[in-house]
Amino acid sequence: MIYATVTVYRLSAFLKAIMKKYLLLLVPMLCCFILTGCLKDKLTKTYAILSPVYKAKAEVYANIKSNAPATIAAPGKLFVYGNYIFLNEVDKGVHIIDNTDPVNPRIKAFINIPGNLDIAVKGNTLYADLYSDLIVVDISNPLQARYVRHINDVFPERRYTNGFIADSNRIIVGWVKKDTTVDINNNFICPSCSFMWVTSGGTGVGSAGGGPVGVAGSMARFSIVNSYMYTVNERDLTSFDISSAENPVKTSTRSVGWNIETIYPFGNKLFIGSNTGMFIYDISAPASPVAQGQFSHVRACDPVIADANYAYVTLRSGNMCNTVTNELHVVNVTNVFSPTLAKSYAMTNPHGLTKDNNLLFICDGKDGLKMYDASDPMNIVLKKQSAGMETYDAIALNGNLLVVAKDGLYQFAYSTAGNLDLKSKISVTR
Amino acid sequence: MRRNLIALALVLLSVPYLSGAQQKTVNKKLQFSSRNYAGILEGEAGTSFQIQTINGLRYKTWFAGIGTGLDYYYERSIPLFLSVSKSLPGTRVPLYVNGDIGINFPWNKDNVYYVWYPGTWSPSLYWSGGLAYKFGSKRSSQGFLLNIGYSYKHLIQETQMEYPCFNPPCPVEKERYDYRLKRLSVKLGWMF
Repeated sequence: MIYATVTVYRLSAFLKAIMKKYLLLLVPMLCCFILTGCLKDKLTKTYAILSPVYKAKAEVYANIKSNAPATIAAPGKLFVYGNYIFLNEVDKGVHIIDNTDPVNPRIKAFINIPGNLDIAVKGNTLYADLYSDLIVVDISNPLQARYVRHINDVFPERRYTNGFIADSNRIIVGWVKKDTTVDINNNFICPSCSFMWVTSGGTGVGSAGGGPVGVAGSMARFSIVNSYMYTVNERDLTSFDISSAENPVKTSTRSVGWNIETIYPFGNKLFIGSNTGMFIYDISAPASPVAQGQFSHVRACDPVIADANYAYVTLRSGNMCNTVTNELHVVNVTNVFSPTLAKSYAMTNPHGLTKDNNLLFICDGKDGLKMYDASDPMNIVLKKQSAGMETYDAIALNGNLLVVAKDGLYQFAYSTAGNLDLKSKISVTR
Repeated sequence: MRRNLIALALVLLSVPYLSGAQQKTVNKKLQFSSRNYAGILEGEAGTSFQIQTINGLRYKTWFAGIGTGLDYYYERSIPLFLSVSKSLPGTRVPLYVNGDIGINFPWNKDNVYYVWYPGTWSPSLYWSGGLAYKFGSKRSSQGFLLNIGYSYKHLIQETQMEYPCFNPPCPVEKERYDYRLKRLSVKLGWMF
């Protein structure tokens, strides 16, 4: 105790001596205490503010036609019809690509459709979403496409974009981006932020079925079967009678569940992919689809395709998918009322997929494109892989494989012999 | 991180070599000197620990060297800096004024601090300035140092968040956070 007291006394005496003699040492400390701002940390956030660019609706509709070709910057969904490829440019419109020669595809025109994500084609008519509206475009001559009509508020969940809403007379046709820096210090508040909200969360592309209908990818949210078009949004399945192609008539809306992602037709069934499972709807009565079976899986993003006996579901992680699972599920749908998991295969980050007879193609994210022999769904064998591209979706059709990737639109020749040869690529220009 | 540790180890390991080399090759007035500190950093984010080693050459009343260490304030980082100091003339007590300037490397580049989504930390500016009092030895080239000063470190965190969508490519928002951290530095060291 005495020792401690003496030590403290000596120490304080020592400090006193220093303070007395060497006040100069305290100068920087005093400066900082006097100017308290010297010790105040500063945290700033730099981000982009998006301001909408509006156009009058009449002007937007007038511009829904075949305009001069545009470069591909953000390729979205894909639709093949005859010798033409319709490629969505996310939120901008549709590229029309003449694919008469797949080795040398040519962008022929661009249809300006603001807010467009999904397309479907039947006969001479193209259906597309324009934010919450459904647009009907006459493409009897794809190079002279023309606006026919629109139906208001078919996809109401897409009414809001980046926190903005277009009024009844105006449509958001673009965004002005401006970087800004704000002090945030200890409050993570950003009242003026206009984030890139779910601009791509809405609707989807077409399908196959009877009649002169185009072919869509597995990420599609539009699907045409005979004289009916089916669309899914985040909750509902909606049917349209398109027997009068230019005058779609809504016939029913079914609540399917939450986080509905894709729709794929096979025979008289619709296979609907959602975050939590796959739903099967019967369309024997096409105006009013009827729920039949359901296959549940862990929460994941899951495009689905199907054939007579099996559905192929890819589960992927990342983004809003809320899982770490990356797998291909082969689901036995022989009994549509009770689909069961037949087998699962490990994948890297599978997105869209397509199947042509026994060949199964999977867009496995950064692993590129994988071609499998799926003649035995219980023993799918990798035959070929094309790496070096980040793939999203694909359509295999008569030996020609179209692949949408982050860096462009690819076309491959494939055969059951196992060859997968690049034919052409239209690169993205940013 | 491994590269940062290797760099730190190399600097520390080079001390004896530099010391030996200098003693052999330079004239008597140009001598190797090392200053090694441990101390605290006090600022708005609280009190944090710091250690530093500065190694270089002393010439008359001047010293210049390269320093590195560990700075635990806010987000652990490794400063790498040039340091210059000079003993104050005309004072009866051994006082030094010193200034450091360099780069501050984040310890863990992928650490997430302020935002919950992934971000990467980037190196940025580091500087400090202060006064040091030497005591504990009558030799001018060695002794304890009590150093009080002001220290600034800048950290940059860049984040990239992909917004939810089912239709890739999904919109990506990039943000940049600049942390400008200002601290009072008090450190005690040994100079030789």
